[in-house]
Amino acid sequence: MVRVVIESELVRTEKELPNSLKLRQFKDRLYHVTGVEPEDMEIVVKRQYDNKEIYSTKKGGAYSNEDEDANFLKGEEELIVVVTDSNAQSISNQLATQAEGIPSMEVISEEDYLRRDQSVLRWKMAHGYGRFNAAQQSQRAALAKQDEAYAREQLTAAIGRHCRVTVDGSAPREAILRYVGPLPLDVMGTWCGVEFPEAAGKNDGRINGVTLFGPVAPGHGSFVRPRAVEILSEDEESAEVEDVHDDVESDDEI
Amino acid sequence: MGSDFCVFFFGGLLELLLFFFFTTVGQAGCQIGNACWELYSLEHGIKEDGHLEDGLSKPKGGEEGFSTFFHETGYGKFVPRAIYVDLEPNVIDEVRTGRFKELFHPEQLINGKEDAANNYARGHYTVGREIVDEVEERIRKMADQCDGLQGFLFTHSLGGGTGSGLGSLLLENLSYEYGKKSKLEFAVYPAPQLSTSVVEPYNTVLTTHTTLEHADCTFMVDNEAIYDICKRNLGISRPSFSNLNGLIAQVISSVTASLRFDGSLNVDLNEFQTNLVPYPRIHFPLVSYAPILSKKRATHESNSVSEITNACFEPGNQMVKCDPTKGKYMANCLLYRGDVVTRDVQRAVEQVKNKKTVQMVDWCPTGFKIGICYEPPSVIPSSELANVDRAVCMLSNTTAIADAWKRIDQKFDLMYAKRAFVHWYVGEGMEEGEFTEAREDLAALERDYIEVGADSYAEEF
Repeated sequence: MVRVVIESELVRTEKELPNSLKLRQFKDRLYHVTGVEPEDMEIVVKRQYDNKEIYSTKKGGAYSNEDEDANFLKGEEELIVVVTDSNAQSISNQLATQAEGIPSMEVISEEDYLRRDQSVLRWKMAHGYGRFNAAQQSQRAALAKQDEAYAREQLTAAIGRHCRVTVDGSAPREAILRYVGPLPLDVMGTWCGVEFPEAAGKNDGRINGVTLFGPVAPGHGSFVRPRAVEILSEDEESAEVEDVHDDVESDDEI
Repeated sequence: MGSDFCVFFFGGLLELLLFFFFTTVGQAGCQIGNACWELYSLEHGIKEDGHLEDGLSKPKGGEEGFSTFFHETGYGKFVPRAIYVDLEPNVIDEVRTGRFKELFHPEQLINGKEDAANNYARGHYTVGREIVDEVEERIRKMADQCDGLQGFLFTHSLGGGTGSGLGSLLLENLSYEYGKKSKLEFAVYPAPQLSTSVVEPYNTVLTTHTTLEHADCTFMVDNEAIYDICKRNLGISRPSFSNLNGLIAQVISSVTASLRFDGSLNVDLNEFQTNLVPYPRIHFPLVSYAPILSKKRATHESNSVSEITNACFEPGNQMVKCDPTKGKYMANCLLYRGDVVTRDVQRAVEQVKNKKTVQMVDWCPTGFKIGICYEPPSVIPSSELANVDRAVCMLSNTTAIADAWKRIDQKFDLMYAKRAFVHWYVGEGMEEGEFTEAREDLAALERDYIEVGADSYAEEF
């Protein structure tokens, strides 16, 4: 057996091939890997360990007849085979030169997708998940309205003030309110940008490449819903500042 | 040429002994199979010839855990519950004459004479049909040896002819015969840049369509992601297939570790599967693994639970190239191995939730599911990987993996627009309609992923 690395414009792979292949068989193997038609195929065979060329079709090769054994496979362990396609019009050359990122065509229409028995859409509809959960949707709409009113009446004027951020499922965090408004994401409603004294957040004040505040140190910023933000009174605020100050000192001592 | 596939049965937990069976199909599958069994044997104290290592009176891992993957013959010999299948003899012959030739029963190694020439249709319809009855017969026989068969684990490539064609044929047939048993796949997914054959996109789309309703959970690994990890983390300048397979084996070992070692926390694979797969079509979790360290670097890193947990969220530790920060998670499972305590895990998970963009799909609220196997990972002597005290494998069902489908679908479209190489398939008796049907199913799958991510409700960005 000989281990062969096969390289072409479209392909790079490794195969184990028998040493006893005829040239025609060898080319046929390469055809099914690379898609290059045997008659258009130019092959250069190199030894893996010293990169020495041991066979090339470009130099005529030593074969008058493709039914002869491919002698260059004998006695070798690892080879590199570089396959090029001499036919500029061939299908493999067309594929190789084709620009990447051609917009994908619509294979299935909205209606066809809706008609399928097995789909996530059908499943969500059947179980009342997401937007098919009417009760939850109207509850969220109500919350969004409250959020908007709260932000307009109390938060917009409080930018720069200290606040307490309480998001479901995590402990309250102290922060400074930096931004009130929409987000450049596919999410609805009003959001608040906050800056934490430590890296307790998820970003630096930028979202999707847009700077909404700062930028602050990485991990010191987050965006939360208005209802998660509670502006601290002046008293609490100064107490918080002292707390932060204490922390810094104790850090220094360590 | 082609593909390989291995079937594993592994089992042996719960009250009844349940077993899984490991099947590998095609070249890639068989090579991965080899790497896996070398590692499993090492982990359980089995020598190359199937006997116990000197000084051991029983295999490591405990009676039940061990027997999920190995069968004891009664002559002091242990045989993997595995079958190797390939359409051509070369790779299987290497197993027959290689270091592990005595580990396997000859009936476990099956090959045909003629290869699939990278052609799904040859693997599925023509050449594959000739061998499939024999393979199923052997699988049945081996399944009967299991006290309680739990399921099947397949490894195969999606791009090769045998792996895609024969692999899906077997999975389909097993699904009719063993409908209730789990069918898990480890599938080598085509790399974004480097193809292993020109028709890889066709084979991948066709096999994915065929197996979509039969496989319960498919873990994908993309060669390019693994290739980059080998270069970057392990310092291998030109990674070979054996380097790639070694790493894949390590990952498969981690996913199955809790099944193979007694005394693990949360080992029920069914439960993980239920968690990971909220809806049957969406069954392609992203796999991440940490730490991946070379022997040289290992002594400079502390690898705390928190560090390795964090690392799972780095793109450099993912087995498929995609961007999870742009997607939404349906489920997250963290499978730890080695010196790990629950308290550290809880703290690490809390940290990740606070600091990373881990956006969950809100309408199927699932948290992080944790499993711990107290047996640390092993490393085969020839591997570049360092021995470590602990490691973690994260399985996450994220909509980001739809990128992988999008990529392959686009390549398919480019080729199919020209009907490039379609005659290879039609020449084997396949109908052209199967191309469009498969492609439509994949388009629907892309839609499914979009629909999963739609109308989520985040609390914090």
